[in-house]
Formats: sequence, C-alpha cells, structure tokens
Amino acid sequence: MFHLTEFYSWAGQLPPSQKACFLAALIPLFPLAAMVIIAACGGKILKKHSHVPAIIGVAMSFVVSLVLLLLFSTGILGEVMRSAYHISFATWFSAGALHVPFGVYLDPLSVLFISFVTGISLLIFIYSSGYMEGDYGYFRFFAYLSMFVAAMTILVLANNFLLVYLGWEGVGLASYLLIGYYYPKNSARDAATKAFVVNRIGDTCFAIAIFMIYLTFHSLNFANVFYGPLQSASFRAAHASMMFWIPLLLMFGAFAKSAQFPLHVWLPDAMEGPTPVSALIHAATMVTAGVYLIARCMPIFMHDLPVLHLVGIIGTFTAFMAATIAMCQYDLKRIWAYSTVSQLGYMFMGLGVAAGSAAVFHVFTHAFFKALLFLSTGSVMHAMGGELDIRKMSGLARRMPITAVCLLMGALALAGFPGWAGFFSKDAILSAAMNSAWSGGPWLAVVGLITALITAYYTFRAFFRVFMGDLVLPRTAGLHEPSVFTLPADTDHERHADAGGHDNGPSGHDAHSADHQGRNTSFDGPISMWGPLVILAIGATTVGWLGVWGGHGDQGWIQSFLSRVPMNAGLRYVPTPPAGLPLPVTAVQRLSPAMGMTIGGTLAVLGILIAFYFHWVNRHAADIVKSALRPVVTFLENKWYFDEIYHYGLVMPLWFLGRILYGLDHVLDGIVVNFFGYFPQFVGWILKPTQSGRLRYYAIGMVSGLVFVILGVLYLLR
Amino acid sequence: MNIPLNHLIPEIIMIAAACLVALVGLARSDTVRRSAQWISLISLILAFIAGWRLGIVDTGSAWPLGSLGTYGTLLASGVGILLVLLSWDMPFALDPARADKTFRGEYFAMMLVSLAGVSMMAKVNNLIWLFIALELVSIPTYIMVATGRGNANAQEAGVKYFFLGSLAAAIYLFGFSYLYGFSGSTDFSKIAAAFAASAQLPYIAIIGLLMVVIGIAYKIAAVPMHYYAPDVYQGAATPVTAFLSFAPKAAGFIALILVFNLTGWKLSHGAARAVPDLLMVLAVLSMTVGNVLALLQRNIKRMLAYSSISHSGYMLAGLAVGPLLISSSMTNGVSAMLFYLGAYSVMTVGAFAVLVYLQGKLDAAEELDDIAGVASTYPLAAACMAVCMLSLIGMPFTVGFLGKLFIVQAAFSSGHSILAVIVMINAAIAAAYYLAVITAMYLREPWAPVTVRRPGAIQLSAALAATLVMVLGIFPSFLMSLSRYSGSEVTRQLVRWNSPPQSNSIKKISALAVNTSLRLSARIR
Repeated sequence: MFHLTEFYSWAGQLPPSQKACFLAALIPLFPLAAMVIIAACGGKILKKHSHVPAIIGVAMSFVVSLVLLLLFSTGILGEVMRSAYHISFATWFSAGALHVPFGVYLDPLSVLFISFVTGISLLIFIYSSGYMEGDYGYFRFFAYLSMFVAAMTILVLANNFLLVYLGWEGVGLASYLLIGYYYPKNSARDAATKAFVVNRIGDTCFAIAIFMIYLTFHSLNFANVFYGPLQSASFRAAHASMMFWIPLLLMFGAFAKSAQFPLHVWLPDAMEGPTPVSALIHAATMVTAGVYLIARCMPIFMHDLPVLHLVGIIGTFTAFMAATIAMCQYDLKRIWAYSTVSQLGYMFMGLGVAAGSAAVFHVFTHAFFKALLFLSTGSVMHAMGGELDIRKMSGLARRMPITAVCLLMGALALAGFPGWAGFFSKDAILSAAMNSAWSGGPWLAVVGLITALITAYYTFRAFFRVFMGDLVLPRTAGLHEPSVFTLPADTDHERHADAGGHDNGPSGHDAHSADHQGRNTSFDGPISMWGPLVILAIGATTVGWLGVWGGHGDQGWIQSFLSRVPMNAGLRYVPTPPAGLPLPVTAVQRLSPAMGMTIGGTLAVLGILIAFYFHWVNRHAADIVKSALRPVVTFLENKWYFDEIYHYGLVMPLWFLGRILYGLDHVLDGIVVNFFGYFPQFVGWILKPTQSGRLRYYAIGMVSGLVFVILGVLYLLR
Repeated sequence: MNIPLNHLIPEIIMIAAACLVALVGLARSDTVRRSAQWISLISLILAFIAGWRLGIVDTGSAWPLGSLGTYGTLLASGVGILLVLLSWDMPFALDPARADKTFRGEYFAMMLVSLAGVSMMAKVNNLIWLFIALELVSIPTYIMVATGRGNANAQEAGVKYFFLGSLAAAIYLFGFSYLYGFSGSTDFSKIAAAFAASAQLPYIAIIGLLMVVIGIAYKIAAVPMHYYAPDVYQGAATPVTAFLSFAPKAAGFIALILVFNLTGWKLSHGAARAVPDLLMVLAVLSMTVGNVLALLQRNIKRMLAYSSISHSGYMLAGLAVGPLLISSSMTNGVSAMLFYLGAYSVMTVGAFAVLVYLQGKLDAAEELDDIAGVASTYPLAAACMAVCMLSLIGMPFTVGFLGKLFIVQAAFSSGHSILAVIVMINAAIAAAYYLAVITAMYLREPWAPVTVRRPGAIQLSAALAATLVMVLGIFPSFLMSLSRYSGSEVTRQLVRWNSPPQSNSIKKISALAVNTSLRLSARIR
C-alpha cells in the first residue's frame, strides 16, 4: 500500500500555509481530469451525460477555492502572515540555471480571482448543460470548457511567469477551439482565427517580456522577481531600459488578452461561439487574465509610472470608444461584447491610476453581471431561434419574465444604477482616478464619467427595445437555434428541435404563438438555464456592497482583503498600505467619495431616462435623431472602421508581400533548386559512356587509371 | 605465420565447415545436400563465438594486429550469418535456366572459404600471406558469380569479374614486389622497420605503395578500378551481389589498413605526401562518380552497385584522414572507417536481403517498377528496405548516420574540412536515389504483384539486418568500441615506430599512451 497514513501524518505536521498551497494545487487538477475523462470516453460512453464530469470537476474546484477564500478572509491564514505563500511542488523543466517549477502562489489576489473564476464557471457550466442539450459534439464542448477553466486556474495560481504563460496559451487555445466550435460556419472559423492571431501578438509580447525578466532577474519566480533586487534603487537604475520595456511588453500582452484598444478587434467577433462560451470568455476565464497579469505585476509597473499611466490612458480611450460603438449596434450579443471591451477599459483605467483593488473589484462585479447578461441573452436567443437583432423583437418581458428580470438586474449593474454591483466598483475606479496623485487622473475620470452616461444609455436601449413596448416576435421564435452541423443526423438533436419548435412553416408560427399565449414562462427554458440566471442576478445585485461594507474601518471587504497583497516589501509582515493593492503615495482629495457616488449615480439615471424616452416611450424620436446624426451613426455602426483599417493597413500589404515573396520563391525553385537537382544527373549522363559493358574497355580504363596515377605522381615529384 | 594457433580457431572452423559442405553438397540424397546451409550457419555462429572469446587481443609489438583481427573475424562471421540466411535457397532452384533443378551445396563451401579469407585478412604478418588472403577472398567469388545463376548474364559477369580481378591482382602483386625490393623482406616487421628507418622514401617504395593501393581499389570498387562493379552486380544472382558488396570490400579495406600500417602512417611530408593525397582524390572521385551515376539508374542492383562505389569513397576518406596520434575517440580516421565498414555491411546486406525476398520470378525485383507498391502487400519487407535505405542516406537513429558522422568528425578534426564538406554534399545527392526506392514502395501503385513465397530465412535475414541498423544506430557502443580499439591499435604501433630514441620526453609520452591503451584494452577484455 502507498503509506497513506504516513502521508497524512506528514501532511498534518505542515504549517497551515503549506496545506493551503497543496489544496490550491488541486484546483486546476479537477477540471483537467474532467477534460481527460470527457475527451477519452465522452464520445462513446458518456454521450449526452458529458456535462456531468465537467460540472463535478469545476464544482470541486469551486469548493476548494471557497475553502481557501474562507481561510484567507477569516484570518486563519491571513492574519498569521497577512500576505503571500508560494510553494514549488516539482520541477517542470530546467535548462542550465533556469529552473521552472510547478508551483502555487497564493495571496488574496489569486484567491479572490480563483474563487469567482471557478464560481462563475460553475454556473455557466450548469447553464450550458441545458443550453447545448442535443447539440452535435456535446462532449467536445464540455471537454473544451473544462480545458478552458483548467488553463485559467493554472494562469491564476502559477508561481512563476512561465507557468502563467502555460495557462495563458492554454486559455488562448481553448478560446480558439470554442469560438470556432461551429466550425462548419465560415464566420465562426474566421472569428476563431482572428481571436487566435490577435492573441498571438500579445503572446509574443508577453513571451519577450518573460525573456527580459529572466535576463534581468535571473529567475522567473514571482517571489524572486517582485520582492528581490527590484526593491533596490541601484538595481533599477542599472536596468533602466529593462524597467521600461518589461512593463510595456507585459502591457501589450495583457491588452491582447483583455481586448484593449489596438488589439480589441477579436472580442466582438468571438460571439460566433455558443453563447455560454461568450459568457465564459467575457466574465470569467479569458479577458480577466490581462487585468490579473497587470495587477500581479504591479510591483514592476510601480517603478515605471509612465507605462502605468499609458495603461490608464489606453484603457480610458478604449472604454469610451467601445461604449460609443455599443450605442449603434443592433445585435444583442455584440452590444454586450462592446460593453465588455468598455468595462475592461475601466479596469485598466483603475490599474493605470494605481488603484489595483478598485480594478480587481470591478473585475469581480463585472464577472457577475456580464455572465448574467450573456446567459440571459442566451435564453433570449434560445427562445427566438437564434435571432438577436434588437430591431426584430420587442416586448419579450411578457413571454419570458424570469429572463427579463434577470437581464434587468444585469443591465442595472452594468449601467451603474445606484445600489447595484457596477455602481460601487465603477465608482471606486472613478474616484480613485479623480483623486489620483497623477495630474492626468482627473481627466481620465471625466472621460470615464461621460462613458458611464453612454453605458447607461446603450444598456437600457437594448433592454427597452427587447423587453418593453409592444410584443413583436421574430419569425424564428420558438424554434431551436438552427444547428450548423449537418454532418451526421443526430437523433437527439432532432428530437430536441421537435420539442421546442413544432413546425418550420409560417402558419406554424401563429399556432406556436397561440400555444404560448397561456403559458407565459415557457420561453424561459429549463431550470438548468434559468437557475444560474437567478443566482447570478442576486450576485449582480448584491456583490457591490462588498466594496462598501464588511472591511476594516471604513473600507469595504474587498479593499481590506486585497490590502494584504504585498506590494513593495518582503513577503511577510507587510505594513498594510492604506489603499491596499494600489500605490502607497498620498492620494489627493479632489472629490469626496459621497460626491463621486452622487455624480455617478445621477449620470446613470440620466442615461437610463434618455434610453427610456427614445426606446420605450417614443421610438419614433430615436429614428429622427438617428437620421439627423447619420454620419456619426454610420461611423459608429462600422465600429470606427477598425476592421477596415486593419484590413487595408495590415492584412493587404502583408498579403501583397506574401504574393511577391511567393513569386520570388517560385523563381528560385525553378532556377536554383532545379539546377542543383539536375546538375548531378547531368554529370552522370556525361560519365555514362564509360560504362560500356565491354571487358576490354574496362581493362583499358583500369590500366590507364593506374598509368595516369603513377605518371601524375612522378610529374608532381619531379 | 607465427601467431598463436588459437587466434586462427574461427578460420579453422570455417575452412573445416567448407570442406564438410563441399562433401555433403555432393551427396546422393537431396535432404543431405540441403543440410549444407545448416552446417554453414552453425559453423559461422561457432566462428563468431570463437572470435568473441578471442576478445580484444593485445599482441604487443609483434604483428599481426590483435584487435583488428578480432574485428575482421567478428565482421566476417557476423555478416556471414546474414549472408547465409539470405542465400538460403541458393543456387536458385526455381531458376528456369537450370536444367537439373537440383540443389548443390558447393555455393556455401565457396562462401565459407571466402569469409575465412576476410576473417584471416587482419591476422597476416607477411606480404605473401596478405596476397593469399586476398585471393582466398576473391577466387571463390568468381565461381559464385558464374555459377550462382544459370543465364548468360551471370556467365558474362563471372568472366568480367575474373579477368579484371586477375588484372588487379597482378597490379598489387607488382606493388608487393616493389615493397620487397625496397625493404628486402616480405615480413611485415622488417618492411615496417625499413619504412621507419628511411627519412626520405625512395620512389620505388612510393610507386609500390601506389600500385598496391590502385590494385586493392579493385576489391573495394573504388575509382579507377570501379568499372566492373555495375555489370557484375547486375549480372550476378542477388545473393551473390549481396556477398560481393561485403566480402571483397571488407577484405580490401583491412588490407589497405595493413599496408598503411607498414608505412607507419608517416606519409605526411616530401614525396610520400603523394599517397594520402592520392587516397583523398580517389575518395572524392569514388563518392562523386558513384552517386551521380546511381542517380540515372532504374535497376536497383545496378544502383546499389554505384552506391557501393560511393560508400567506398566515404570509407577511403576516413582512411585518407588516417589515425590521429593521441586519440582514443572516433575522431580517429581509421576507427571511423572501420565503424563505417561494419555499418555499411549490415545496411547493404539488409537491402539485398529484401530484394532477394521480393524476387518472385527470376529477374523480378530488380527494376524500381518491380517493387512499386510492395508496402501494401509486404509491409514488413518494405519497412526493412526503408530502414536500410534511410541508413544508407545517413538519417539519424540509424547506424549509417553515425558512420557518416564519425567520418566527417574525423575529417574536420584533422583539418580536412573541404573533404568533410564534399562527403556531406555527396550524402545529400545520394538521398535522391535512395528515397526513390522508398517512394516506389510506399507511394506507387503495384506494377506486377509479387506472389511467390520465399523461405522465412530470407525474411529473417532482412529483419535482422534492419533491426541491427536501428539498434546499432541507437546503441552503437559495441561496434564503436570494437572499431575504436582496432583503430587505436594502429595508433599504438605508430607511436612505437615513430618515437625517436634520442627524445626522452616523447618516449615518456608514448609510453604513457601505450600503457593507457593497454589498460583500456585489458578492461575491454
């Protein structure tokens, strides 16, 4: 037997921090095991029960994460050492002086991240089991999902940069596979490729940053990088250029993953994947990785404030730009996609003004309400047969009340309506920017406030259009989203489509509506779909209060929790800086918190009221305004022409270059390669007559060879 | 030949078995006649074991060279086992040109005698014995070529091979006579002493050496004595061709090592410079001529004949580099050459074994078209062929790769980088025609399906050879240590002869080198 008792007694003697690290190491293993199980026997054995291992795996991870969160927040771990623990279990590989371990890095930041990543993922998994029911490749979907979560947890828990990179690439791969899940569709394939290529740009920057980190610090472990020589001013002066390039490249890496300004183009297209995938990407597993990376590397960024400010400026610009684009989109998922880009911009604004805990707080609340918005949208899509154009539907609240209420909660949170989650976190970022020690901060805050107004407007534009007003259903309503997989005749899928959608003909549509006249809730779908919605709605409504209540002194729970993350001293016994994760410089009080909240709340309400007038009360007025502002609207509808700029500015020149090089290659192939190919044969052809097959010529050849050699040697020796 | 008799046990076994086979092969009963193969096989296994028990022999300052002798014995008997297996149904009973259709055992008797010659080659200590050993290898092969196959092609090949071989023998015998004239003795130690004593070699010695080299070049099928190879290889029965690609070549290279050993490898200045330069020119010409002419061939046997010319070129390159003075690694040119010899023997015999196996009709499996698409019907045979071809190309994880690597390494570390580059360019050219064989087997549709079943022994031979190619490619230490000690033994003799008595420090260094290698060889044993 494997000496299990000895193991227990050995483990029992470990200090609690190491136990916690061992516990944390289990978190990525559960989804990883689920992925292996589903991939191995999903197709043959599990079939339509493929979601079971996935859900169990992520649920176990979530439970472990909660235990860790409790350990940290109750002080069992947190108070003893107040900071971070890291442990290396095994060597991944070593080359020369480079040793890359498998290891875990636990501090309040990673514990908070891991908790909501696994928690939100769990809800999305449960939702997916209803949403994807009967789809061809059901098991494939859940294997990818598990892989996605496993990669994200590795990314968050890793204790060195290379392991982060492993998770980083794993997330990229899983997102590629999931966005392209409906691979028979051209648009899905293109979107997957786009996401992958754009992410590669960031990955390359991140990789170069890792090389530079190794060159500078001779180690890739967080502890050695952040709390080692970095703390000495002379070291930083000696590596001044590295101190500039490392954060800059890390920033680009983060921007690709988190869809910020130059590299944001992939995220809106990523909605080609199934809706739960969008929820996962937007809320839990993918785009938050960039925020996490910069928050994690804050000690490096702290020593290069221009780059940090650049993060804030680009974040703010992205927030504004994406919000304006979202005003003029008609696809519900696309609106939420741009809202994600915009909200991520807020987070980077927070990081840029060194308000890390505010940024992480916004990530946390955003995870709830964005997952909620996407999943509710998925319900709408499910009920409307794949139709998401907000011009084609109206007044759905009567048909799907649960979905409508849930989506309303999410919309209120996104709009920053006072009391809802987004209100508090956005306000935390904006007031941090307003009171930043950096003189540019207030300008960012002003742009952020304008963006908040726009955000409230476009959020409720979508909500009022879809759920309020007269009942209008698209023709496809009630049908199951048409499957793109025509390859095999999947009987499960057909049965499901029959149960949902009765008839495809136009006459069937009326009968269908009549059928649902009496049973209003039936569009909400099975409990596996609306159950998670309700939980998320509660979360989106309430988690914001964690930023106000529950902490030490007048801090919120989040702030005081994150304040234990060590920033610029040794790993243990960090004197808690007042604002936690952010920069410990004395902030300037330009705007009192109460005043900030009032302004933010007012703007949100104002935005909602504008949307209320134009998109519920008097929709005709919206059309008049739209035609009056035609050029602007066209500009926004075309998303600031970013895709076109990239196409004509980057893709086409590269394509032309490729054609030219291909032509050159052809010439080289034709001349050089063929020459070298035929030359030996030509020589052989010349020599061929020497092999006449006649004995006497052979004898003459041999003797003349001998004579030639001897005469030649004698000549040389003469 | 004053060497301990126990060194000759393998040869005695082989010759005795040859006599027995010759007797048994004439027996009245067909069954008894067919025991010839078994007797040959068992005798070769016994000879291998006897050679193994000899181990790395240190013969001190006296001729012959112990390790090289062991190497020759192990090579002859080891590859001989493969050769006996692949010629299991020789002379070919299904040959329609044969009138009597009966089995005769003399083929195996000839084979054993020839192998005994190869095995004995390194153990000689006299020019006369060297000549006898060379002829012992060659004369049976003339008979094998002529009688192995009943058609006119084989007769023609046999006659060509015999006449040209006699011419070559005359040339090197003439060279031997010059060496005798130079030193006044046929005894190796005396000739070596004469070489060591003369600071400036007289022309008679240099021309003698040149004639010996050119004459023996016939045995190894090197330029300018290569003309016979394609015709003879193509005309002979395929098992005989396999034998020709091994036995004379091994014998010739061992003989060349012995001859250069006589000179103490001291040919680096003055007029004597001509000999290594000539070797290098011959090496380059052989590999180039062999490769470019092989490119034009559609007949696999003819192609392999040219390939054997080019491989002789690679080995000559190793020989031209020569042994490095203080070198226990494979950068020693002679060690590299010996390694290549073993590697080449195994892979070329493997390739021929597959050809024999695929020979359904008389002349089938000779053209590339004949083996088209055999991968689908005979996957194992095709895989063996592919492994041997990849090894002949010099792909990593095959023994051929290591062979080329060591040759190139030796050339580089002795400063002959141009030679090394030429070897590599030639290896690249050679890939074209070897890959054509693999392409034909794997990518083309069957042309004329091969249906005739052949004895399992032939398949076993091919599989053994292919396995050896892979195993020696990954675990080369056995062949490496054998060739390394044989090569460093040459170095040791060199040290002994070259040490001028007046210099104490050089004496000490050489004594140290001798002691080190003695200790190493003792450990090996």
